[in-house]
Amino acid sequence: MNVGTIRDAICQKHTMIAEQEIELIAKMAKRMANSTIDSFYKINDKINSIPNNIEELSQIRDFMQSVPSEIEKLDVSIKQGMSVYQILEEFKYTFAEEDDYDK
Amino acid sequence: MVDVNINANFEPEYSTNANDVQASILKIFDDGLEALTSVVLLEQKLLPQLFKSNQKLHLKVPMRPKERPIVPDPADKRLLPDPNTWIYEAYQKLNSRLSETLAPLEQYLATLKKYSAEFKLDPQAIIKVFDDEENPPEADALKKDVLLHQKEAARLMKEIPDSIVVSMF
Repeated sequence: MNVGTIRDAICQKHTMIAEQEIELIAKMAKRMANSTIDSFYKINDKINSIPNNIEELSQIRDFMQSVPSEIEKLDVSIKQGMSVYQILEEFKYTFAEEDDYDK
Repeated sequence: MVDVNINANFEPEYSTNANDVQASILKIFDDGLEALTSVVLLEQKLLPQLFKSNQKLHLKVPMRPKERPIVPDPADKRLLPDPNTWIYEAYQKLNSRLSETLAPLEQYLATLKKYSAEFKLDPQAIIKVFDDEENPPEADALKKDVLLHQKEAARLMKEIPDSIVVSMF
């Protein structure tokens, strides 16, 4: 009697769940990376913005002084994101080239 | 080869009903007797001059009685036992032996009931619960679950054989 059919069917269910969960982790990693990149872009945009008056210049200067602490906060996000990427590496997950660059 | 499948109620079942197998074997028995009735008498073929009529004569074949033939009183010498009794007994013996071979099939199916949780497992439903962007699960929790499912898949692959011989099947 052939029992392999049901064995393969139920094994496939577990494998499918595992694969889709890995995809969810990858999605999570991409989301975290994008969020961190966005934060850096926002800092960059603000620093590079051209002031129209002395008040705005002063605001930019104040902001520049807060950049190290902002980066410190983002460093925590980077570490969290990298720990998620580490999980994906353990599962030998490979990203598309563009997503790999984001990492 | 008989396959074991999962039915709509998430229970294991055989691709062929065991009772159908029994019925088809018994039908072969009856078909065999039926086929013998079409065998033309050899003597008529070889020695046609001994036969007045040209009408085809067929082999005299014992018929299977539907019910057990009544055994005549041995004291009454005028009554003879039914000559088809042996066919009836052979059929009944085959039938009971086939019934005996079907019992282990049900027993084997019962052993697969321990996998009922796996039969009912719905990957889409599980993923849907986790795939919540507003309230995403912890990556470590997902990792633990991935490892668990990978382990379960490996365990099942090792535990359930590709094929098995149960009774005469």
